[in-house]
Amino acid sequence: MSDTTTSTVIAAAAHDATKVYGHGDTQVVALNGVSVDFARGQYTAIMGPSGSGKSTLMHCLAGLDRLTSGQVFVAGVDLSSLDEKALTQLRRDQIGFVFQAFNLIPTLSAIENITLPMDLGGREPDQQWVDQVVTTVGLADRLSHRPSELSGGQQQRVAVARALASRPQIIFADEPTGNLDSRTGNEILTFMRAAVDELRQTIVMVTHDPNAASYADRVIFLADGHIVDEMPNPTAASVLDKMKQLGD
Amino acid sequence: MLRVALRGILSRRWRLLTTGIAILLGVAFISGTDVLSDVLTRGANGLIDAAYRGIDVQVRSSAATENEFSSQPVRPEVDASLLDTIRATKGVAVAEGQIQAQATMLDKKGKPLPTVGPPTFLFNWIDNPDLVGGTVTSGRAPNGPDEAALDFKTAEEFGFRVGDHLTMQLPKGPATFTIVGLGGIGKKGDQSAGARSVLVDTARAQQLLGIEGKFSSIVVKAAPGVTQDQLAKRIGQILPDKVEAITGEALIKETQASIAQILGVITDLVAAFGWLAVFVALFVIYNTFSILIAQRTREMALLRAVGASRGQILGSVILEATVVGLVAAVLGVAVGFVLAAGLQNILASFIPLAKEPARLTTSAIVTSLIVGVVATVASALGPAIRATRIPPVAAISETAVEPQEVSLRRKVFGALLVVGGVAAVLLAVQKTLEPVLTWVGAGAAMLFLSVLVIGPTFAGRVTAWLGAPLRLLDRTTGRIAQQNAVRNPKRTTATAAALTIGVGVVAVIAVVAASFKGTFTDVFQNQIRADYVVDSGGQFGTGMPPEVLAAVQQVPGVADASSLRLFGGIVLNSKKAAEQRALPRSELPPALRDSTAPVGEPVLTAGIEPKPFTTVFDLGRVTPGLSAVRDDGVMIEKKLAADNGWKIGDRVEFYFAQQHLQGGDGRIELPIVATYDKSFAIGGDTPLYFMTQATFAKLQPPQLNVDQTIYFNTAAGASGKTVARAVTKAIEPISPVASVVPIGKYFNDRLAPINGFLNLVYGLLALAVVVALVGIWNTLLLSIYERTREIGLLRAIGMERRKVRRAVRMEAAVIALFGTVMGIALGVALSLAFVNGFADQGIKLHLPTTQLVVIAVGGAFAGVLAALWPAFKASRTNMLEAIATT
Repeated sequence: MSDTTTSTVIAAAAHDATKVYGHGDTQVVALNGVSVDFARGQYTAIMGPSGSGKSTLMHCLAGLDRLTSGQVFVAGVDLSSLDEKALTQLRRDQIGFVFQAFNLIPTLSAIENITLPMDLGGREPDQQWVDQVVTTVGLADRLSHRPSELSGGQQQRVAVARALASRPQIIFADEPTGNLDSRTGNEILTFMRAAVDELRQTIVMVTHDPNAASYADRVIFLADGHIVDEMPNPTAASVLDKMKQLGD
Repeated sequence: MLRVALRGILSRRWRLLTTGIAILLGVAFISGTDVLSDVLTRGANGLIDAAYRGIDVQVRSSAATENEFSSQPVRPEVDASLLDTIRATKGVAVAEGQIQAQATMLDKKGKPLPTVGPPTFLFNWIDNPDLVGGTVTSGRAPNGPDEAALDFKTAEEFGFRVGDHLTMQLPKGPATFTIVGLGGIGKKGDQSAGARSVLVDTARAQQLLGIEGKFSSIVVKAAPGVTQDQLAKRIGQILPDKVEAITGEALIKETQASIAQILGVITDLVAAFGWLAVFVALFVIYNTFSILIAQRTREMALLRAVGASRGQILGSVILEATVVGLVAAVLGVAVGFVLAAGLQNILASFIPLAKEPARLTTSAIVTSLIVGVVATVASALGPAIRATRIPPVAAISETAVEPQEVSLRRKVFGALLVVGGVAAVLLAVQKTLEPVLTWVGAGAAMLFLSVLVIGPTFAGRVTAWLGAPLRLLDRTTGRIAQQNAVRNPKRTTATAAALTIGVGVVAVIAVVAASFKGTFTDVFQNQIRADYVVDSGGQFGTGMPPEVLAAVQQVPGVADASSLRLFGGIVLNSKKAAEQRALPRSELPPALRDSTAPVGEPVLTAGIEPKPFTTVFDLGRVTPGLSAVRDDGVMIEKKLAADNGWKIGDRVEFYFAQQHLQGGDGRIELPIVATYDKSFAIGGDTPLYFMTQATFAKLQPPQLNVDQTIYFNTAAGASGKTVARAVTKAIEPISPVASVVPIGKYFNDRLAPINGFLNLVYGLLALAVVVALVGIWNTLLLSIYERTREIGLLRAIGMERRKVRRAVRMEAAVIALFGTVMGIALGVALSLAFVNGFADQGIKLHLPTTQLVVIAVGGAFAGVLAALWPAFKASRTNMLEAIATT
């Protein structure tokens, strides 16, 4: 990919990102010189067979893991230049997360989970924005419930609300619908789509579900640590075809 | 199944190791004291053997009486004329008179040696290496009235050398000697007796002690070919009544037995804290196994699903506990041995016993292994049974959570424990249940257990309340920490309950000690009307000659001055005396079993001049009046009379060994001539019988007819300091050891040894607290392991490591505070019962509020310390592992 001369604003980018696990005989190259940009306001899906490096790419982009070589930028900041504390604060203030499962702290209520990143940072949440997010997600009557009192779909919606509530630069979602039935899954995906279209959010989602990928603006395909293809405006059928090719 | 269990133990070895530490500490203490007791006993025995080996027969008074103030029973002297008779007996090679008396010695600056530490004895020098029991190693033996030999250890400690002067305070006044020789016990003179020994000329010793024509005992060496038994028998036949001859062998055995008894008291006390630590460890192990099993629910269920029986599940958990207990016990024995060796070195600087090498005793090994395994298995039994109830279907369910509601059965059981515990403690302190200590202990144990059982019903609310301030400190972290502390009330309670025990016992001791000290101080402040005390400075029985009081009274500015003499006696017709007689003889101290003295209640007799004494010390209302207190009668506290059903005019039957020796049977009846109604709290719970000093002098040994304490008042308008200085000057030539002390300092000095002892007890209690802290450490580690994903998530969404650590520390603080608060509540409740039990001795409750607050806060801080490592571990949680979706 080219550098930042394009007119769109880049929310996050990877330059020649390489990640090697282990050494000697057990060495595994998870990412092998990946370069990619994520424009602001764009919804990107990352796909690939297991072991392709898609999760590793997301972890490194999100500051959860560090590259062996290369660079990752979020909001123009080179993550490799940050120490542990600064990186944590960057995750807290600039990045939103939605994981497949176990997204919420079981001892805190839904609203406490939603405002947790801001509470941790000692920031006052923007009450109007939080209200808007909560209303959009449709959780207004569930705010004082503990996660164990919510359904799987409701829990994921709380997680999405948390990711949105602090108005991060970018949201990373790791198989956000992996644990949900298809109807609830679609609800979440629709909601994430709406977050991009209506709330101008940037989302990067790792998935292996072609249907989930079809909600994105573009799909990036990874195999053996390389980007092997990119597909704008995907549909479930076109993604499935591509996946079949890669599987061969 | 066995293989599965063993594999499981191996894979969990680190977590089990921390569990083992809890039991290890307790076992180490128990086995360590056993080893220590063994090595000290052997050291003492060796010393006694070395000192007495040369003696074939000892001749002594058979009328021995117990004495509060010395480890050995007190025997009156024997007549010196016996020596010639014994020397003339066939089979006697050598016979010598021996003198031994407690004394006070001054250091080179003229100050009495500290009363804490080895006692000082005056001996006469016997010019026979076998009979004197020691050897002079530098200089020469004392010869003539002004020379003395000194034991090398004391010489070393206080810098005395041959040629130096040495001053002693003795009943007949001070005496100064020139040190001509140094030596020690044994043929080589290189052993120290654990006492300070000064050896002087026989006649001088008799004169200074006021026992001219008498010996403490007569020691005999047999002619070749005559056995000890033969000689003892032969001498026994020619001895007068109330004088006995015992073989050297018997003397050694008897002395060793009484030393063993004293050492036993000390080592039992230390071991008791080891047992307490084991009790705490039970809680810790119970909790750890509960958590481990909860965490392994799926694994257990899978085993059940593939066909393991309940018995096999139970067996695998029990096996795991056995292995942990066994490993911990073996390590505990090793640690205990090192501990004992270390303690021996520390003790060696206080008690210079012969240094025997420490040896692993069979009893230490056996006790440790049994305690280690039984305690671990017993506390793992409950969780193990719970493990057998895991249904196979739990293997496939998403999460298996421990049921959080407290069952009715549990509540009922808890309530029974509370009722049983309260009943046991109350009945024990009222002496309805005997032995008192055992029942109080059992009751306390039930109450501590009840905390574990019913604690979960209120743990949530209490910890929420205790944790509230943390949210002020750091809103989000505090909230997370507090929620974590509350989320599993059973676990929190079990973790906190371990701390409750140690803190509870600390609180009991703090409150009881404060009550005693407070009462003691009240008595002094309300009843002593003297401004100053002349303290004899020395050990018991080495008081001031009567000339000192006379000198004090003559100092201008002294208004009232009066003295107190104290010595033991035996009362034969009190209620307690009857109880004593009902005991089997075997429960008496060894040296008393064969005594010709009758069994009765040991009491204290106090010699006073009634009128001046009551001026300086308020005894309350004296009935019928002070003038009734005449010679040959006793005045006692009203309560003592009431307890025994005595009234004025009734006769108290005493036994005095001194009287026994002077002829007759030693029994003397004295009428009660008066009662007083304000307690005189000096003798503790030993009953006190006041009598005139003339009567005291008649009944008690002459060398004890000395003033223990002199109280005096300054006249109105006189400067206290000036008068005190004048008094000091006046008494110095008569009794250099005596010192003039303002009354306030005098109490504080009295309380100092109690405080020292309390500090020792608190130090030992730290062990139980440390075991509880190991429990907190362990629980937190397990909880953090359980919450890996949660912590990973928190880290991912932006919680700094610093805050993760803080959250864990705060959680620990809440749990620890919960434990200490319960401990203080229980401790105060228990001590109310104790203090109530001592109410008949006039003890009133005094709550050491500041100290209790310090304990609570200290407990919370200790919890934070225990959390340091778990907090660090938590902050290093691997985020990627935590959010992985498998």
